[in-house]
Amino acid sequence: MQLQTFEELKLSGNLPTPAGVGMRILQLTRTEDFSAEEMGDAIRTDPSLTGRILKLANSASHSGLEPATTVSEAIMRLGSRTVRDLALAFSLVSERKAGTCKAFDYELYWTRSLARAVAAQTLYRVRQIGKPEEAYICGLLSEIGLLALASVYSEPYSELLCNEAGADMQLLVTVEREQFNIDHSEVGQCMLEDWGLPERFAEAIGAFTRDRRPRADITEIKDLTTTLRFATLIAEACVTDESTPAREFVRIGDGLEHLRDVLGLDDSGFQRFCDTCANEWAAWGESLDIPAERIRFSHVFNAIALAREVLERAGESVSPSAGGPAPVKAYLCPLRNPNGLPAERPSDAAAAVPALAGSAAVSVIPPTEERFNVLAIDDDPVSLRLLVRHMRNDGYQVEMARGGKEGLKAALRTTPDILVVDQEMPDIDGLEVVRSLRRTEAGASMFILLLTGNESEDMLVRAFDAGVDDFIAKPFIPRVMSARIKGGIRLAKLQRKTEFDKQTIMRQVAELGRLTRKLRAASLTDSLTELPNRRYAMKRLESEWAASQRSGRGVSVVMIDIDHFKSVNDTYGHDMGDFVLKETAAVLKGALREEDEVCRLGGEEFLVICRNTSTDDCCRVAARIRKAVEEHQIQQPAFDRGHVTISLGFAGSDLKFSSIAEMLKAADEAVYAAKNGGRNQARRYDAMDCVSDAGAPPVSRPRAA
Amino acid sequence: MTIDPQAATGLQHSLELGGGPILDPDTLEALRELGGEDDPELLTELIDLFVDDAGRRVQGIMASLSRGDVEAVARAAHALKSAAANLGAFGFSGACRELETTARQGAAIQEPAQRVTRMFPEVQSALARLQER
Repeated sequence: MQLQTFEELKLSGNLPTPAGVGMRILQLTRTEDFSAEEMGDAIRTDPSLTGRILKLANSASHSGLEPATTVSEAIMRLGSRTVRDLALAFSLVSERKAGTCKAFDYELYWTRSLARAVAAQTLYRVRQIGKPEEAYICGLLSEIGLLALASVYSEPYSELLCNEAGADMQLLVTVEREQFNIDHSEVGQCMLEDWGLPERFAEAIGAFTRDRRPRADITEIKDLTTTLRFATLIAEACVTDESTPAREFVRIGDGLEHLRDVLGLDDSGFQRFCDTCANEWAAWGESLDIPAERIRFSHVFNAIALAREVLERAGESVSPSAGGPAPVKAYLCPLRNPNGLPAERPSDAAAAVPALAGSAAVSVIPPTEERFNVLAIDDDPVSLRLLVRHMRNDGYQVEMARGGKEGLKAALRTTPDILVVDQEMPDIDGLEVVRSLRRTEAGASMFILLLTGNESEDMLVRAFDAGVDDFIAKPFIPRVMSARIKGGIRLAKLQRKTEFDKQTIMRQVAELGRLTRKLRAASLTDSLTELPNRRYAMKRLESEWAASQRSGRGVSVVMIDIDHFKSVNDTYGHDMGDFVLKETAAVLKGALREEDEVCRLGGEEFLVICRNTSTDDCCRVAARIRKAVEEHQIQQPAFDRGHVTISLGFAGSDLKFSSIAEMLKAADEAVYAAKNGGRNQARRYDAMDCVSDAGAPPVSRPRAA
Repeated sequence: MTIDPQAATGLQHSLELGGGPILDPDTLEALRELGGEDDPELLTELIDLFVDDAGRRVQGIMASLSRGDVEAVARAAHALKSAAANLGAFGFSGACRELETTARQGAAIQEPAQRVTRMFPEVQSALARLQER
């Protein structure tokens, strides 16, 4: 990972970030031991977010259940992790629906992303290969890197997109890397990791956006990657219209046929499947306020057939393309332009305002170099020439631009310290230029002087409202202008100093944050097994205990001790002992439910924390864990015992303990009882007799006692 | 109308202005000084810029007038007003101001517009003579 570069992008402050509640959730859930309760409280403060999460919790994947009506129920149903990730994804959507990268079609970006999300979710549901909500989140965020680059490098990225309009997405990655030293695939991955989304998401979107196989040979990741590819085809089909080129239709059609075969559906079944996606897409579009037309796939398939016919008749080869990646122009604005190239938007001042960030904003320039740049914008060439002459005589570095549109472009390109702009210009007037500039990061800190022949009270009020810092009456008196510019320079100096300080601080904070995250992770992790350690376990238990006190739902603990571990060390040596610990840790982890978490307390002792779980339910968890460990063969020829067993003791808060310590002590006592009862068994605290776990009898007793 | 001796120095007087100077000598002098040694072509360039830009605007006024586009007339007059003032063509600038004001008030603009178009050639030739020297 180009972490260096990504951290720099982050420092620009222009990366898409979850808004409002999303940010709060991000902060609340930074650590592994976040409280689901607190997160729920944060979500509840935003009714529309709550609605969206409930909508997902109640979607068809959970049919048969009573609909969830509260955030807590949604968290129970989907798991706190998933709800957290969803909340982040949703708040991201509401944040970035427009932007400053001219060639990038923001609206279409979200339209496509949403279609992909919904299609991925539906695919997961139909194929039953994992949690549909996870596929939804990945689908929504899988191309977030494009949005990020468009936000950070708006103008150069706009240019790059136009230049590469004919290229495919893979080539785009290469060109991005050449120009920005980082590409959208990697930025996306870094962002997901930065937000604490599961690693497999980042891995899958990395493979998807680079159109290659996932690096890790893990079924979950492979499934996710394939799903994203297929979902993208459906998304592309969803946004086709009569201006889509025939070749494009054929490409999508070939891909969809492949998907139909993978799903093992006939044509009508497949059409029904696609229509389900399209309907869900339209419904979600309404909910998230993203354009999504209600389309029928029968029309899409007709168009594909027609396109094939057209190409064949034209004598063009219609070789199966197996889908293949979409061309860059599919992301360009406006898409409906048949050339795929963006047309200049006439007098659309707002659209022509790229937030100039990029390298200029992230490189720290010490404020020692005291050269101040001035940009003069005037429609009248005589006045402009004079203005420039005067300012040059005063020793300033001056650029000039004629007219509002030109001026706006020049201002964003050169980011002057001082801007002198004439009010009366026919294309975009001075105040509009100022307003547009003030919306951008670079323009926010310029000192802006308005030249106006109209000094009426009304005009001045409007000028200052628009964001003008000072004004000069026209025709200007040179001495007065000089004096006013000097005033501006004074402010610009202060501004520079402040900006420098701010950037230094941000840099330090970012570094500190990185360090703190690493340290925190290290201090809460057991280095041998990579499980959370005792410290973490106690913190986590405290927050779960508090949550269960508030909600009335129970929390249970399972205390685990490896049987005869001392003799493993004595017989086979400590290296083997470590190996057994690691293997057992992995088995424990694999035997848990979503809401459980296992920690290593020390030595051969582990603790499982079961959220929202009664002692009765915990019994089943303990039984399953015991069985899993017993059945697992330790993959080490020298270890002739073949496997190890564990003794378990469990207790839940529903047994009315007055404190965590008391509950832990109870579980400990139950372990002791299990040991005394012959090991390889689980005991419940208040019924210290052996728990029946489908009657698996203890097997292959270890030699040593 | 008698011809002023000052005409020999390039400062013609306007018929329209009832004998007032077309170009203000002090302004022109100030512009020469402003250019100084660093920018000796300043005045020449300013004149070229003005003649080119103002010529188009004056034609634009005629066209807008025939279309009845009063707003466009007002805008052009406004631009001409300040450009002319910069070169010391105060009389012409004044005529432009009057045209702008009349247009913005919605009064009849035929007369002030004609005045502007009549005066422009005077300014133009005065500037041209200045260039020749």
